[in-house]
Amino acid sequence: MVRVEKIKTKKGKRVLDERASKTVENDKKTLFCRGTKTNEIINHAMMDLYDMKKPLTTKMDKHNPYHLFEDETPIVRAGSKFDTSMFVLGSNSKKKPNCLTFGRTYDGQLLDMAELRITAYKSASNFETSKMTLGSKPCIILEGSAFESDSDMKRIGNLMIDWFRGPKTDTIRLEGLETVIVFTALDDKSLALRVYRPLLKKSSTATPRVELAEMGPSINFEVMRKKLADDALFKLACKKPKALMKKRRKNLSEDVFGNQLARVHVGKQRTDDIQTRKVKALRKTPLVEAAPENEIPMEE
Amino acid sequence: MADKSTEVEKAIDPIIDLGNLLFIDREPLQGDLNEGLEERARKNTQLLFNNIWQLEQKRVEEAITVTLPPTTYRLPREKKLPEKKEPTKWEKYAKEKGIEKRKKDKKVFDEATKEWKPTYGYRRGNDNTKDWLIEIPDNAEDPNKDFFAERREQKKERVAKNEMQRMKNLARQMKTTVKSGPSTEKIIGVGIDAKEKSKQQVRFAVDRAKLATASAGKFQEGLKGEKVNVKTGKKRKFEANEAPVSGEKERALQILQRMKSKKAKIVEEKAAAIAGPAREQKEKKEKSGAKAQTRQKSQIHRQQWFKNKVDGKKKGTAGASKKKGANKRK
Repeated sequence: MVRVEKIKTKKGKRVLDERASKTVENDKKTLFCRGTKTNEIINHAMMDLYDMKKPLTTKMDKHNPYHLFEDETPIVRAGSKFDTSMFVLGSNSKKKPNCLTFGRTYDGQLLDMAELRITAYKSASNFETSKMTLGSKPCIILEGSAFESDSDMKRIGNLMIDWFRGPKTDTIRLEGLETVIVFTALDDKSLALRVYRPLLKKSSTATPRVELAEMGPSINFEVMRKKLADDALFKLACKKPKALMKKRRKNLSEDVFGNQLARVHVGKQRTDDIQTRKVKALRKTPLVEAAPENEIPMEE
Repeated sequence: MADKSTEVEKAIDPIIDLGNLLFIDREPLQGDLNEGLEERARKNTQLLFNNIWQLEQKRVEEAITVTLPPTTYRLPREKKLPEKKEPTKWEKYAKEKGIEKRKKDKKVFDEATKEWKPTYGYRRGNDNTKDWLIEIPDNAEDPNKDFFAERREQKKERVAKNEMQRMKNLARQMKTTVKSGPSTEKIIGVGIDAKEKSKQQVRFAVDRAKLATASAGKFQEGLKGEKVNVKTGKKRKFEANEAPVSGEKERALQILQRMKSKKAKIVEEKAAAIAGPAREQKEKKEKSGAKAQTRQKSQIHRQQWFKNKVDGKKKGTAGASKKKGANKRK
């Protein structure tokens, strides 16, 4: 959409530029929202997740009468207001107790949303391990064949990776690897979330031996309702900008051993201009001018 | 810990995306699911870390860092791909001519006050609209005119022109043309766009909306300074079901009176035609033995049409004689 109104202030321009679509996007932000009713479990679980996501978050403090599987528009609208493209909504009701709805949007419309019921919960405060540093990038591990075989579960796995992956970086400090988030698909319907702190021990090789200390939260989920984008929309959302695509170089290939093979075209060699060895014999003699006829007998 | 090995074996190759620090284990889970969680996690983490440690390491201020490769796991974007922006007319022209943008300083030195002032905007330096004196040029047509106002007007015009050009550029970007007035293309059933409604139309819409309550707008409060709806429709009022007879008689007589006073509008030709041909002609025709003919309807129409036409002509070309008109027609 082309904006017609003139931007009046510098700050307003900066805000709009920040929110505009870009080739390399900003880190996705997450909106934390509470549904009609919440209980202690939901509140604590959301706080734990909030601490894990922290700088990239917005929190709505009040309870909101949102029933996302009936009408998802309010949370999408709230997302566009706060410029957050991911959300989690915690709610507790008699029929659907202890539910967290994880979701994400694309271009102002809902992409994926999955309602996960907490079946077992242990808060992060129950573990004595020190918690994750603000804004650090966690490692994510997905386990279980359900993430491969079941298409819905695969998408939920994708959603979880998107949700938990943290800021984008190209360099990391090796000591800064201090969180490992593990999702295990116990079956097609249930998930286990565990968060560990890796402890690097000495080993016989250059790579350290990794031991894990649980850091919490530890949550078991059961997949309840879900609303996942159809493949066409998902494919559209995954489209990569052309500017970021690597241009294929012509006539270049790689063999099995990783050697680059290329065809090289050599232009015509200009042997006349190239400096070669100077030998008297090869020197070009200037053309002898045709002498007048009467002089010929003199030479003889 | 006794075990210090870092080797982990996997039957199926896992998906590892180091750009996202992501590890997807594709092996099916075995054994007790809940018991083996931590051990499996440890193995997978170990494998991921083995991969990370193989990346090129670099020391940056006491810390060892690695550069992550670009991500491979596809995740959806947050917003649409940015659209290519159409260059403005000036940008096109500048590119054609090879004109490059030169940056101006944020502040300029104001000669009058001997101060550095902003180049543009509020309290800008060298602001010629703020001059307290303007020398009247020698070649001025009218030395008494307001030169201050002229400058202000010129500035306003420049601003307006720039805005117009901006709008035109926007229209070019959106591949539309600037509309000069309310749109003429209307979609049936949709109604007028709110922006194009006239003041009166908006007024009517507000009035109608106000009445659309359960109590027909009886308790609807007006806004501050809002005009009361003047043009409300008339409400029909009926007579009472039981009324004295005297009134009824009067009313019936009134109706009769009205009906009597109506006079029929008579078109002469039509009347004549219906009455039949004139008596003299009738006698003549009887004498000649021709059949008594009544004129056909189409003939009457033709005559009427012709008469109307002549009348119209007379009105239209006042003063022109009938002969002239005839000649002209020839």
